Amino acid sequence: MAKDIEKYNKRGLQTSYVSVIVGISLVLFMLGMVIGTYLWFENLQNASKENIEIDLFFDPSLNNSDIKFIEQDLKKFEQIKEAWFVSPDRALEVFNDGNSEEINAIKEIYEGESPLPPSITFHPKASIATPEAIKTLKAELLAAYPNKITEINYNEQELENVNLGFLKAIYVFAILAFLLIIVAFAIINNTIRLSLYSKRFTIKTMQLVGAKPRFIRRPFLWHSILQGVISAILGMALLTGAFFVIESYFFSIDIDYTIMNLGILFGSLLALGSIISILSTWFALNKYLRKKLDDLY
Amino acid sequence: MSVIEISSGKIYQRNSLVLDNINFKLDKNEFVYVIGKTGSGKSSFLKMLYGELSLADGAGHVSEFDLRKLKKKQIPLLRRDIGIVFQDFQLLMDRSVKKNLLFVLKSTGWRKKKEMEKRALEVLGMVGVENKADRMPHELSGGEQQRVAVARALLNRPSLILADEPTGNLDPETSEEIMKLLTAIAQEGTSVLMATHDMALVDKFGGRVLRVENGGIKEISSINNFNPFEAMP
Repeated sequence: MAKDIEKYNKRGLQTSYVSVIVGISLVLFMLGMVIGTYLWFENLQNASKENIEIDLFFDPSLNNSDIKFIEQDLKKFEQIKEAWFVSPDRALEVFNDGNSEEINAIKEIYEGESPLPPSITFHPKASIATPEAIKTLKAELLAAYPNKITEINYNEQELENVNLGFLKAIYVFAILAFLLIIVAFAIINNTIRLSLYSKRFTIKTMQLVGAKPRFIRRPFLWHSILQGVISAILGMALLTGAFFVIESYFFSIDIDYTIMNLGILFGSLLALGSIISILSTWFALNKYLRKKLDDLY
Repeated sequence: MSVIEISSGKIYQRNSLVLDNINFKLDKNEFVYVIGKTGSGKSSFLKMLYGELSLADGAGHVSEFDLRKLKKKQIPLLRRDIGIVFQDFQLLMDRSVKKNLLFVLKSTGWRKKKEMEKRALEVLGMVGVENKADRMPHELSGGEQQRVAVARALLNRPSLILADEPTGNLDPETSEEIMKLLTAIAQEGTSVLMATHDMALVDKFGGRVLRVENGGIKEISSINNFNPFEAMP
């Protein structure tokens, strides 16, 4: 009988835990949406950053094999994502947009040879696709191959645009995320305080029988971690659902996350959920631990 | 060494002086009543003894704890050395009687599960409610709940039991049973300090009597000297 009542009581408590968890997961879901959109933007930007082409032109005295040797060398550079050798014929094709008539006409003028010199084109890694870093890389390359590289070409405007557009987005997301974290903290804190308020006399009784604050806190804190973790899992499930719906109904949006992105997303929700939950529990508990018996009524 | 000794003590509650010039001594095995009207400061006196209020002036100790130098960290240790019984029992309502006792044992440093169970059933046996171990507190009568509270107070073999109106919520018959239990505890070596306004009980069971009145504490030699209407206009 007592066990039944104990179970019944636990069920009653579970209902209040459920509402706390639902509250936290909804807030985490909102935060996840902001972080998710940010990561999606970042992916888009990285893709366009890594799409920038930088051309290296060489001294005419170098032959194809010399340049191919440098190509292999460049592939080892950690700033370079991809590098490939562009033969004079290929350069001519690219130059004329593949128009074979024009190509043949030009070749005829130059006795069957392409007038363009051989070159190497490479895509930089997204992390260094900023005007400053590319300038540094340019200087580094010129220093590494003195008298060999004659010119390094890239579209400076495109490079600047790709960085500028994103800079504005970062501020918007940072402000949004910051505001949401404050709202999240306020809501979660309030929910947890309310649920602990109902236990203030239990906490006091524990103190009166000689339990140390640390001993009283321990089960509450473990519980808050569990609360944070469950909420993060629920929040992530909601997010996955939301992404699925967005992809199915808005065909133009293609959400493509890497495992790393998903890891960051889930990790942030897990960390934020647990940290906010632990901090709120800690502060609310300390408040009741400090209060005198008479102040609890 | 006396269990409690206070000299020239003062107690403040929210910046107002509740009791002044407290001089009191309690020896081993003694049973002492603290009587007085509601709001006279009986509870404040007891609260000071278990660290819920501080001794603002003078000198005093409970067991080995100097009340004037009592640090926050020492309060749980002081409370382990005294057992407290409240008018409203203050049991943990979300767990069974046995789990209430096990919580106290665990929180006061007991580690071995078998020993904890043994001690819990032992004290429940001492107060006569060993058959209620698996019940929830709210399934018990007021008298039974108070017995459990007394059992809880006895768990760590305290040198002192502080009882704040332990019979306040009980009918006269049950009150007498709790009184018999407390006097038996005192005879076995644990001092008892009990706040009450039930003069009939004091009269029946006898013992040293302290009267809290007009912001002070006075010892009256016997119960017959106490006139509850004296302070009335």
